[in-house]
Amino acid sequence: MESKPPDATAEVTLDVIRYLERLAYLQLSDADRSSLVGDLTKVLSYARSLAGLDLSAYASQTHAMDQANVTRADEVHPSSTLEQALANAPQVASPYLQVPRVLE
Amino acid sequence: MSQEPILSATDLVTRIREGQWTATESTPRHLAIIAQRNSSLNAFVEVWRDEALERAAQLDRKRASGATLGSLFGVPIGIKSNLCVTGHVCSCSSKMLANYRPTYSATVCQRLLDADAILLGRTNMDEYAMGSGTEYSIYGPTRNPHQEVGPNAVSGGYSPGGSSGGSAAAVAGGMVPIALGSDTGGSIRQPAAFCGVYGLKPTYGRVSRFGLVAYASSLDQIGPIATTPDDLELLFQVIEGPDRHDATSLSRETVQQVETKLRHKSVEQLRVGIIREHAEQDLAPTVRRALEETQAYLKSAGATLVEVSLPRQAHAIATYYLIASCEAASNLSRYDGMHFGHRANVPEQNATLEQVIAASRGEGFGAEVKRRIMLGTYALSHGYAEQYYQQATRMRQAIRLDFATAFANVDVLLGPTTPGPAFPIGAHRQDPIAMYLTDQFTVSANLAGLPAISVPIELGKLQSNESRLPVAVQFHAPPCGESRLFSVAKALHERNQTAKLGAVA
Amino acid sequence: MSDTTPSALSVQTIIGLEVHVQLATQSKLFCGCSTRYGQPPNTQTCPICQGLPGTLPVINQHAIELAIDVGLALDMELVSGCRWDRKHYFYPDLPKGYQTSQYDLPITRNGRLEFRDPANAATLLSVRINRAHLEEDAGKSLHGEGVDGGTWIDLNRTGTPLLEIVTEPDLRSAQDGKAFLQQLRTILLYIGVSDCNMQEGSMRIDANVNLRIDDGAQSIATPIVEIKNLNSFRNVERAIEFERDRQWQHWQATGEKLGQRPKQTRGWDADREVTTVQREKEEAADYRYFPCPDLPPVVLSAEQIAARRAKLPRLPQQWKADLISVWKLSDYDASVIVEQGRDVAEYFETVAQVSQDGKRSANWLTQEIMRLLNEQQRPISEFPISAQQMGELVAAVATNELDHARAREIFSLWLEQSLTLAEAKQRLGIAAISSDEVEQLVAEIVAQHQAAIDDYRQGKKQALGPLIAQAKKLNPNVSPAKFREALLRAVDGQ
Repeated sequence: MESKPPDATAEVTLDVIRYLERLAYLQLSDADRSSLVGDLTKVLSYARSLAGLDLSAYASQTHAMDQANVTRADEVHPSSTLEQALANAPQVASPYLQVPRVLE
Repeated sequence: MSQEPILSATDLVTRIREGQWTATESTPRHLAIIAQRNSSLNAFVEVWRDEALERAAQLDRKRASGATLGSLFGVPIGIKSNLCVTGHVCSCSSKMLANYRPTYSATVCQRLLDADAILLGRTNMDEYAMGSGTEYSIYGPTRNPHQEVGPNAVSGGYSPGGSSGGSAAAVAGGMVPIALGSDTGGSIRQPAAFCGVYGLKPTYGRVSRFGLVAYASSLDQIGPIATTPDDLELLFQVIEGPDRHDATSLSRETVQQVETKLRHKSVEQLRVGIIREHAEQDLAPTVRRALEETQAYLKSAGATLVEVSLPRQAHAIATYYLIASCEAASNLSRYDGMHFGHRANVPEQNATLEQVIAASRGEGFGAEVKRRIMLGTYALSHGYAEQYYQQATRMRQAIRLDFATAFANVDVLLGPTTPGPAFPIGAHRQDPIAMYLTDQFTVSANLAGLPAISVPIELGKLQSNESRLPVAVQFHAPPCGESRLFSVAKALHERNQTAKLGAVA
Repeated sequence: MSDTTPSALSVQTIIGLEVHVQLATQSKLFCGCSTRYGQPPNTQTCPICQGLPGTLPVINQHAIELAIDVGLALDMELVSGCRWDRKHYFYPDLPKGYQTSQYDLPITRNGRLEFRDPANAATLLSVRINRAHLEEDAGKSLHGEGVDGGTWIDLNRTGTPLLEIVTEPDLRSAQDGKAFLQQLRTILLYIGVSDCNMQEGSMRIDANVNLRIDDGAQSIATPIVEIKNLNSFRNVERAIEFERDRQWQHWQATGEKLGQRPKQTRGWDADREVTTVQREKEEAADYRYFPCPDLPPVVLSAEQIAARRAKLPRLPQQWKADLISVWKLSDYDASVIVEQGRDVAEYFETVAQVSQDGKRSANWLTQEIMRLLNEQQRPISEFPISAQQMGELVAAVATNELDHARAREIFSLWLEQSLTLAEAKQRLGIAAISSDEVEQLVAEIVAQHQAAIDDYRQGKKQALGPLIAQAKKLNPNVSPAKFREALLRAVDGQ
């Protein structure tokens, strides 16, 4: 298990890539990894222009619009049929979806 | 009829409604054009031929029965491959979803059907809408119907832009009069500009996102692509409106309130702000000319032109790529090969669940998608979220306030849609940053939730060494100001018609 | 443990609880699927809770209302602009790859709950509630069922609304933990926000446990262990006790302190009565929380909160106070009734209102009805005698219309058959008798038992007892009290 890189301004190394790969459950090839070191370095050097700015005057805008309280009434609507529910599953043991063995 | 030119959606609806044509006559014409041109353009990745013909016959029966006819009656339409239609593959051009068939339809697709449109098929796109060239696709790249002529021509053809390049190319190539795209950072406007057609990114929340496979939820909007502003508006009117399945869709009351405040203005009454930071950028000569000719036209039409500043524009691209990648990394967590989509075949007896999930995602996603998942995971992970994601969301607010300040003084903002015309296919494959920069003028509208339109500009007489590829300008309006954008676009459309006849110097 | 603790050391168990409560909504938190328990697998899902691409969540208004109710009941601060966050982790029972929850702005926070000290009924203990936040439940995994030992997934439960109530680490023993949970459950049941059915998983508990060891010079904390998914109060109690002992032994063996190893997650094996390691949280704890862009925040207005407050059912403490002040019950009787739950308290209140006799109503309820219900393991909702009928019966006893023995005969009959009081009396031959009839009976008895009367007159007051029994034998409908009154009048008056 790779340890966390020391800080956000540190270089993007293969270790950082492996750490992220693990976090994102994303298997990469060696070629992917080495090109990602370069790509992420470039993108982050671009993104770091933001890191140094004092933006404390601005509220964090996580949504496009200032909406609130959009809710629905507590009403039951018809569910999918079992057939629909299993239609796209890669593996089925009707009436269940089947997934590989979970090893803890 | 087969000698008739391809009609706009507006004209087509009129002809069919008036009984001059039938849907059964017109639909095969479009299918024939697709059959003829798609092998080179690769705009459609699937054509729903039989279903379209059956529906056309059904619509003709409906007309014969005297029933009320929908506003897109008999109009064939292309659907971007990230919009769900029950029973049809919705692949997002990804191996991950190559065989995925949704069991429900997107609200917009249902609205098209309710308006009596004919869904002709699905169009190519960049995988999960991440890209600006419609090249990152399991179906291969789409080609721009436009080419340079003479010595400037490239053999591989030009990119239609992306990610809605299939829809833009399908419209520009005469396959369908209108198509739906989605726009997260310019994915409707940039391909519309590259392909010489009109494209609108609506105000965030005006069009329901229910059934649009999410890339970056706070930025994504579905919008129309068309050959005329009238068609653009017609399609927009059908798809817009509140949806109880989308908590971020704007209520009718909100839209009406804002629209009332934005008084309707004719072009001569408009105050047009020229975005200094966009105009100052390094622009291709024909793009610069498009901007100048648009300004000259608007001035001659009586509009007031003022220079305005959006001081934080230099940060827009970084802000956009951070927010979009964070949301993408989150949205794409659902593709684990467990419930739907691609599952890797990991042969080892003792493969852990984690290995199967990681392998499924590793095999299912292409390079650009992986890049953004990695960037988003980095920017959201513990310890970095404050420096990256949080800073980006604050900058987003600053950018939004810049626009609000500008709109206190002007009615619409004018600038280029893209720095240059279409690039040759494959030009940016080695340099993602260069690709990201083609979005530099479009991402701000998504960050601020504003409506923005790309309007193709017919240039006056071109020098022999000048590019023949289409160019466009972009207008931004305040939230819910789509009608202002349509009226400016209609005026420029008239100007374009005149320009085509050589009447503009 | 105490026998292995050197007297110089003081050892405290530090416990904080996370209680997941399924809210009593009809539909799920973000979609219209039913939350009904026990339906066939994968028949209560839709594209939204299946996590299909392109679907979007919309919040169930009632889940927010129920969360407000809990906030009000636990004296918590209601957070006006609460937010929705995504908590990312991969697991096959979590189809979106993230759980929609509330991270830094939960709907309600900073409350407290008082409960009776199990070691000393006269004292109240108080636990601070850190927060209560809304979140969606995951689906169910059935491990090792499939071919090659694969896992089966049922997504019916996915998206069911949960309220996670998190305490501060204020509890100091397994017994306190259990008592706290019982009181919490009672409150939640009274305000009707959940059925708290633990067999069906409507209430699940995670316990965070460590030790604070003080040798007089310094205080040492052992690493915190989280015991996951405890599904009964007994398991909570047993698991905490086990963990306390295990940590003590582990500390003695290793001296390991808080901070020297990552937080460990353990599970409770109820068969073996041990906790076992599930995982050590390392980088996996990086859930990459971020605000859900699909869900606008919820802004609670003062009016909305006031409206919920006005509708909030009486809390158990209020019920108890009312039973004591209105119906003059003892503290003990009031507690016994209130702790049985709202249905029982409401039953009592109706009986007392109809009979206008609180004490008798309480006796009938606690001694007769609850004994039967306990024997049969049935809730009061299934008890055959309505509160109204019961009230009439108690009233008849209170007004001396019936004696206790006859009332019990009617009670027994009612358990078998649905009859009115008049019908039951007729069936049992219970008829009201006139005062003339009583006088006649007195004359008869006096004539037949002159010796006993003489004994009475000579001061043997108890000599009249058998005469009353004799009279009951002659006429079962006679009220012993009325007969005794008439008899005394006759005997003393002579």
